[in-house]
Amino acid sequence: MEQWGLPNLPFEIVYDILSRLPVKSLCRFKSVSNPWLALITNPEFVKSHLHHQSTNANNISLKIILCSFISPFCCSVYYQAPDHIVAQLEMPCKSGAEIFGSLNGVLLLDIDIDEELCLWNPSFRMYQKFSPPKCPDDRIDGKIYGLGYDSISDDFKVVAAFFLVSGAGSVVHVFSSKLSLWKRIGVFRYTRYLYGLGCVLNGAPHWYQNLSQPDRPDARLMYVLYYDSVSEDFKVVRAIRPRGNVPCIAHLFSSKLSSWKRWMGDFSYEICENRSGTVLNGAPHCDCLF
Amino acid sequence: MASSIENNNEKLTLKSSDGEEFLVEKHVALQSTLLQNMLDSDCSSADVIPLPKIDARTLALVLGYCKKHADASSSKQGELNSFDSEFLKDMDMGALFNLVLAANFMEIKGLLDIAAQKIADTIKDKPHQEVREIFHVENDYTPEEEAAVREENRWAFEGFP
Repeated sequence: MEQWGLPNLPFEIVYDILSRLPVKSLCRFKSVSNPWLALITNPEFVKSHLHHQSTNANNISLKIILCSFISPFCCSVYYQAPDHIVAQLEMPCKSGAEIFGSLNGVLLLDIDIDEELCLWNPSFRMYQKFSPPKCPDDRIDGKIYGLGYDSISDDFKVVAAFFLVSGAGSVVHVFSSKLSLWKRIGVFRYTRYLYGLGCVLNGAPHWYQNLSQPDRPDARLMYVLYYDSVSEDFKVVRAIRPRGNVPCIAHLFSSKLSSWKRWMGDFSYEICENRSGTVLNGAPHCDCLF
Repeated sequence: MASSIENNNEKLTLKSSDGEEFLVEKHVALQSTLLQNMLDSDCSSADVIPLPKIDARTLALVLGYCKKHADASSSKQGELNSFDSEFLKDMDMGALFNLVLAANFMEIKGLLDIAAQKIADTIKDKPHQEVREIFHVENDYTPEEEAAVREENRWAFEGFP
């Protein structure tokens, strides 16, 4: 067929075409021009790209992110049967970090044990760093972070719960990614000693909590609860009675765990299930095993 | 226009930007939301409908696609998929660009989808300089800026000049 001249395409068609490209091509095409760089790094575009990739059945990609909390080492394991592709990722920090959940391709990192928190999209190499909220050390004996997403205001939320020494519960602060601001939500009586990594399900971080039963102090009941960013409250999903060792919360939700387990051998890991496009969440802890 | 769907043998005439006229069965034309809306309102099928943005070669391709999709029953999705990939197989970038523009203008969602996907599949492994030319994008970077953006995304350039 003879070569036809190339007409100019309107913006919305270019946008549509670009949202169908793999991340690697997009990162290369940032070099096309300033307007292309601005488009490709625009949060709205990133979101529609993710939506595009995750609704296209051929594109579903599962990734596990392994992150060392000792040194700035992070890699992704891209699961695509029959091979697994392992790639080292350049981290947005100079020290180790711990992953507290992931959602829509964004990970919540706790850098260098509370030095800084960071929302990081490893696929697009974009991040937002911020300080954890201030809470006097002598008043707390533990804390937990969680990542959530408020679909109404289209905003990533970070939950920080500080467990009070007094036993009065926990002080909860919530960070809005859009406003780049912490807000103190209040003291919650029933949220002391939450465990788990805040596995994200349906946009909300989930934890579990062990409670003794008043009539049988030796028998423990386990509650799974989550933070709901719309009502700004914690909600209990269900109470279960654990058998043997306390299960990691991932086991409660994951149906895909067995397939991961086969090839991950004996690594210590935590994974939770999510429907996702660019990055499937997972928060394994291992020290540079790859 | 109550008869627009009942009577499948009705035809209408489409006119390309370069003046060529195409006689099209109405149920084929209905693949296009634009034409459907025109027929639903007050356009008489006796009128010639001008499509000033679409040349005859592109319009012939578009109508070939519409005919196939209008005639196939919904149970033949597999057959349609193989028609679609065969339809686009040897098309060059110019033809694809014209096709995607026509599909956008005539609001033919399925065609827009497969043409945009084909363009994406074709450019994904091309160097950015070539993509710049394909999309007529002016390079507004200084050489220093361009080097800096490239350096930040070094990992994506493996194997590229």
